[in-house]
Amino acid sequence: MTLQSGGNPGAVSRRRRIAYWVATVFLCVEFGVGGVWDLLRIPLVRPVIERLGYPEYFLIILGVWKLLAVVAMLVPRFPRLKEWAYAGMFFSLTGAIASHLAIRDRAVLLIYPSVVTLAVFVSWALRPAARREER
Amino acid sequence: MSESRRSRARTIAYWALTLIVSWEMVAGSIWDLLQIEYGRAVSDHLGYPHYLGFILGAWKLPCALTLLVPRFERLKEWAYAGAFFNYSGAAASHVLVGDGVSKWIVPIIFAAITLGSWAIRPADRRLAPHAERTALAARAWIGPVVIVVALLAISLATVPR
Repeated sequence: MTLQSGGNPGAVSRRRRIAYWVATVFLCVEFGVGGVWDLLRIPLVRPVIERLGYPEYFLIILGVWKLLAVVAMLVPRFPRLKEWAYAGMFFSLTGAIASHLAIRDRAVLLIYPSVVTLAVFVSWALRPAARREER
Repeated sequence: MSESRRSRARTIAYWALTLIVSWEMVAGSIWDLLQIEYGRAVSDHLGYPHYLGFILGAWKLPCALTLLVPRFERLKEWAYAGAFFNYSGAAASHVLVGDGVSKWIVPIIFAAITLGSWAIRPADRRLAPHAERTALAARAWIGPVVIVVALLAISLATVPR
């Protein structure tokens, strides 16, 4: 991994920590704001879920889980809970991408969920030891 | 109850619960991927698109496989998480379209069985800090593989028409 090669260990671990927090804060904003939007079923998200063919109430299920994922990511410790949050974010994002593909949506609409999926991967891969459960 | 008796009861309970979830996942995967009439009717009733069956069906088979094989402790967490989101989502959907208890109790039971299997999973199938890793005999894979093949065969043979 490029983040671990070269430089002195202190600088590497600082870069790694910064990258982790940038990705994690981005995810918290995305899932926090997205979760509230879903729960309020604002006019921005309703047409999207309708076009994909999902029922409107699905936004309530998604919204509740998104806000819980943010809590799981932000609290210290609870590494196993964080594992579930990462899993949930990954399943919802890949599900969104697959859904856009299934209805043959414009390719440009795949970019954003792909970027968020990448952020999930970066946050998960770089999570500090205290937030990670080792085997 | 003696210590060894208790641990044997726990092992049996773990495998019983895990087999139930795995079987549901394998059968569900086949049903979803084949887009059988029953699944389409439930999907229509809940208001979900039929293609969701392909997404769910594609995940359910690796979920069952992950739960049954030895090791892969972190992947097992993801499989349990996915199974729980799947069953709780199904139950919530039935509740939100106004279905009665008889409809949502089934996914609730499967969600509970999933959590039960997770709660009593043995130490060597659990993510734990500083856990000792012992060598794994190749034959430890035989049982799980046989179970997966058997569940697949049973599920394919019993697909509702």
